[in-house]
Amino acid sequence: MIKRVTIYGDSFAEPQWANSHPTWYGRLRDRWPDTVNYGKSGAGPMYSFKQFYQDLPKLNYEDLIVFVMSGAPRIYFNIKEAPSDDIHQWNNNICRKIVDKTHRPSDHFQSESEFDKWASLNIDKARFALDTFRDETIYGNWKYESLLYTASRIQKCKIFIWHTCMEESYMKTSLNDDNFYVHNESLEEACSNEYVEEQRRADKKESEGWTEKDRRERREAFDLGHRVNHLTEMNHEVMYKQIVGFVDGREIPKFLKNVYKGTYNKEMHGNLDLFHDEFVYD
Amino acid sequence: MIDIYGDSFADPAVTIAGKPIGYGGFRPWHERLGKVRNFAKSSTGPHYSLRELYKCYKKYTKDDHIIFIISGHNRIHFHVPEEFKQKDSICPEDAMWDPVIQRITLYKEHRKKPQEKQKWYDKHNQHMDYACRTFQEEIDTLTEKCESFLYMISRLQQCKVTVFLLSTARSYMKDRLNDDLFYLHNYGLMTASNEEFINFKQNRYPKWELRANHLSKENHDIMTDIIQTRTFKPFKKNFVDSTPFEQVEERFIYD
Repeated sequence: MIKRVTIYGDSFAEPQWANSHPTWYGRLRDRWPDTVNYGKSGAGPMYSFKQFYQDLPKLNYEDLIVFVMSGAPRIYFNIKEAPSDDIHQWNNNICRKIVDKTHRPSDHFQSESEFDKWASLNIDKARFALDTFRDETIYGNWKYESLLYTASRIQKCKIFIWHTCMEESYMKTSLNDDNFYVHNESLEEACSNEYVEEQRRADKKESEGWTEKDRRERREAFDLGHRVNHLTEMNHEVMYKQIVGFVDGREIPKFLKNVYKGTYNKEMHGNLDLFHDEFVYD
Repeated sequence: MIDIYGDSFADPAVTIAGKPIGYGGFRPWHERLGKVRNFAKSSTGPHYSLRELYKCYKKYTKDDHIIFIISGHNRIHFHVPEEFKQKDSICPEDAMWDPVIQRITLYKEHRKKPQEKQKWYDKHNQHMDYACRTFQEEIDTLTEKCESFLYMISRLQQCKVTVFLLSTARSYMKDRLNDDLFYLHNYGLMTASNEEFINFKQNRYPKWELRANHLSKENHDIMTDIIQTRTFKPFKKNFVDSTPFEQVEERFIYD
């Protein structure tokens, strides 16, 4: 019998967004009051596992772990200089600076100037760190999900995983059983597939000449004002039912598609270029 | 195919007191298993061995057998920039994070310190320090993740996996998930190596290693038997005269 729920992940689990309608994690808390949510926008698995490593030895058959496994390249760099609220923003910017040599710093955020100062002094060290741990990063999620799987065997706890991108999973659904479950639809897909077909076509027409990345970023930009954790209330309900279905041994529903007509508000969001430097679902 | 990953406990290139492996008139365990590919390299840790494994693991099938020795988790295979890549004297694992003083130090060998290695260290020790601080938790849990990943490979590729550790103290799985495909030997190789000595506590850090892969013939026999039967068998203890192993400094004998 599950008594405790612990949630790890990124903006798909971030509890700060929960104001306008019931959320999947809010509903979990209604059923299991002893629910802790460590979801943090912009966080990668490296951030989430810092907490999980501490929690692991204490887990037992009364625990349910819900993991949103976000992109492994979101490295949690050691940045003691960053203002705490901006730490993930800084980490994303470091990743970008390392990968994209043509990247130009943006001046939209106040923290950027501080970041640029830091980067001019430390980017070589960050690049060396990534060169040293490149393979650990590329294959990071495969090892993380392996550890979660063995944890479900040894601690006897239940573990439910969503990947933001299924390509980052090695096992996919092949080891699913009563104690371990990887959902076979990625959250990125679910987020994108919510849009009604007409809206997708309109997006496409309006944005002819754009790259797929531009279009996706535009769609994601809608979320800043309109979708809580990048999903509609209907799919929050589905997420809750997916977890409950796993715990109770019932059917696990699929995400709903074609249910959301994006209503982008230019006045509210300003120039889209602002988002071009951001990870799509941060 | 049998593939071997690990450190000096499996390294085929090890020389003993300047003589090639086999000194002592016996074949080491890794040469008794038939056709093998041996990726083991002295001084390396799981960070290095995993890099080798990543290149192969998806090709394994039910006909394959992986033998993996998980050595010290803090042996990091640091990046060596191009300008130093041709220098054979650089072993990236010789720069190690010292948890007491909280910084990177360069391993001091008995032999004269190669100049190139010192140059590499002087130029990049702050970079290494930063890398370790950023990845600290990932390094600290490398053993747990490595054994979990190996377990996963045995499930998904359906190949046999046999795991040894230098020390089982950091093992998360121990032998709790052993089955037909996965076998973790729940006794540390470092302990087995040390316990060969008579009065081993007094002779914990011998100056000279005279044994092939840090084990005597008797324990090469046992190691072979463990791998072939994949069942627990204790290593032989307390039978090696320590006199020729002159005691010196603080470095572990298998480094």
